[in-house]
Amino acid sequence: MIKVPCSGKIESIHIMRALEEGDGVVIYACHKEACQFLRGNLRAEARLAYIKNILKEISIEEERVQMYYLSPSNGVKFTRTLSTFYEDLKSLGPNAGRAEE
Amino acid sequence: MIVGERKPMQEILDMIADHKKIFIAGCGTCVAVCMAGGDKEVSILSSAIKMARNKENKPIEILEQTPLRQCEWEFVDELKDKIEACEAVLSMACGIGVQTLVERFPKVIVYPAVNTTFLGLPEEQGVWSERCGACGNCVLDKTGGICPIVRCSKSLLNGPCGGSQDGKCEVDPEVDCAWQLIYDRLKTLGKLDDLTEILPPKDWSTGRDGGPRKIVREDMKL
Repeated sequence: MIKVPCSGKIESIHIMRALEEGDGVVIYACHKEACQFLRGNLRAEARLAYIKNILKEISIEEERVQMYYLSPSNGVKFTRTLSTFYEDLKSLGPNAGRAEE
Repeated sequence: MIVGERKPMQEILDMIADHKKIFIAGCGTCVAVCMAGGDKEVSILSSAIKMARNKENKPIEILEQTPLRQCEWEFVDELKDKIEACEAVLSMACGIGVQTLVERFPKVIVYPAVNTTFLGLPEEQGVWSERCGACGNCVLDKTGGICPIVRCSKSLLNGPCGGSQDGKCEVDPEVDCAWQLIYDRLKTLGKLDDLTEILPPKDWSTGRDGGPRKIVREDMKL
């Protein structure tokens, strides 16, 4: 897990590099109306959409990248969504675009 | 500035299908500003190509570098070692950058990864629009600083066509009618009379109709 000051700090290349070495990437962002930097989570959402388009172009399942909005204190939702994402990734199988170790 | 956009991934992947080691060359000037071929876009394209090739079980090695400008000899010379270490170059510069590499490194295969689209400006972050057709014979002094050649869908030089409706273009209702903009601007400047001036037909020989263009400044030569 990589902590960033705001989801808006996550660049497209961070997601791509993570996918090169992993099976999926999940981004946790604050609720849309609750960004203390005003538009950070909206920027992250737009970048995620851009990455999903690239993944579609290279035939990698776009479900491998997901974003969830939650408040910092909502541990229950964090656990539930992460478990769901993990199960989804398991059903997708290994990322065919991942570099061989 | 020159505005471009990345080519579709499949087109790029087809170009480099036979290569196992390539060099992606970005450009740190125009295409970096329009977010099509700068440092970040080079990294993203490199990552996408690697994943696509891993998926096909045809892994590829990729070197990356973004010179300040890909359209000048002294900047592309910096790329020599990486270019010579690879089978081909994928250029994320405009068409000028691609041809600069081709002329400087004649034995190297260079593919374009970006479609050079137009000369324009960023209206806002993430939005670019055309402003200049590089016709070689500027008429902006006659038209209130608004170019009818690229901003009018029909490049009309003698006023709006019959399809101008409520200040919008009939070709695309999202586009402002250039001649409406010209009229409004000249009216604001109190120079509407300029529009009554009879002008000779435009000399298009300075544009593409005159063949490839070249400027020579003897006073600037070394």
